[in-house]
Amino acid sequence: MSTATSATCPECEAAVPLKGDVEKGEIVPCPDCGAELEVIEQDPITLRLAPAEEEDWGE
Amino acid sequence: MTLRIGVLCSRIRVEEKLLFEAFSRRGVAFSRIDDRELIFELEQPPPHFDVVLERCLHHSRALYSLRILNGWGIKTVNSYDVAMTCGDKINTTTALLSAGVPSPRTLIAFTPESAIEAIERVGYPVVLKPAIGSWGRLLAKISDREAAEALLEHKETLGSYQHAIFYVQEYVEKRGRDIRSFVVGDETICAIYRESAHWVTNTARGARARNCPVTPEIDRISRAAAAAVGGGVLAVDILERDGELLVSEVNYTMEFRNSIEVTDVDIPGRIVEYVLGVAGRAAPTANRPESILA
Repeated sequence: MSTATSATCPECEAAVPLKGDVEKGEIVPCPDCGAELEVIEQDPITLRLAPAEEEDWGE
Repeated sequence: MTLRIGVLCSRIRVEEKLLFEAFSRRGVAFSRIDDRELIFELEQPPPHFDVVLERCLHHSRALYSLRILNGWGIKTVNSYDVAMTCGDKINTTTALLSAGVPSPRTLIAFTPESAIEAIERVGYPVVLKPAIGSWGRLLAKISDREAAEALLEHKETLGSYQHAIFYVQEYVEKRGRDIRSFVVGDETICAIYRESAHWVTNTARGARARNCPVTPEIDRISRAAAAAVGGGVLAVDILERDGELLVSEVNYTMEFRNSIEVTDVDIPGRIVEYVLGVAGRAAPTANRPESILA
């Protein structure tokens, strides 16, 4: 069972709510400033600004 | 015997989470391989994997990784050859036409001057697409010569050399929708209509997904398109024109988050079953050069 947690937005320092089963590499939005954030560590959960879309991204 | 499964990825989208869950539900362990941390030491013995599922965001990283893995004899979903064909629209259209799969009329040119001639040979409006690109990025619908000249000059001046390779395609009036079908192995597992008032109907650009019944015609053209590019796990983009179906693109690292609920098909589950099936198959026998060099 997953437990909710939170981490600090590196852009605006707001608390970003996260599910307990959040994956490393997952993208979460900051509810305050709207920045796209990437989970780079799970223990403790650490966020950084997600990289901008690049030209060869896609499916 | 326990299978060794790798999932090559970078950013974890909804699709990757669903695939991870599908592996876990089946009790199948897998290793995540992050392409941002990956180092391929080409002369070292290869790692042991029965199969690697490729889910990179970057086409270039996917392409080179698959080349190296397949070169080591490691099976991948999809293969390097499939990625090479699907990741470049010129390769895709060439493969489709070679296999007799109906596609929109397409012309390729390498200079702005010849591109203008190609555009006017097709007639306005016409669509200009980057050969490599996805999510509807940098598509242009050109309505007259002035717009064509300006666009070609911008692409040649501001873009990389790849933007001076001009993929010119006839504009097919979509009437607000196109079709995306999902092919896994030999089966068209489901399809959606992508509906949008905009002529670009990618769901990444806000198009709405609605279930599209897989008719015998959609099934036939979807499987033919998938086979034309080498087969595997593929999403086929299909345009409708007066009852005729035309394949515009085939995607090799498909996104499917908007298609599960509307089709009621467990797309990640079907992908994982296919991957496990590939893992259990014998590796392709290559003509090994070491026997020649010995």
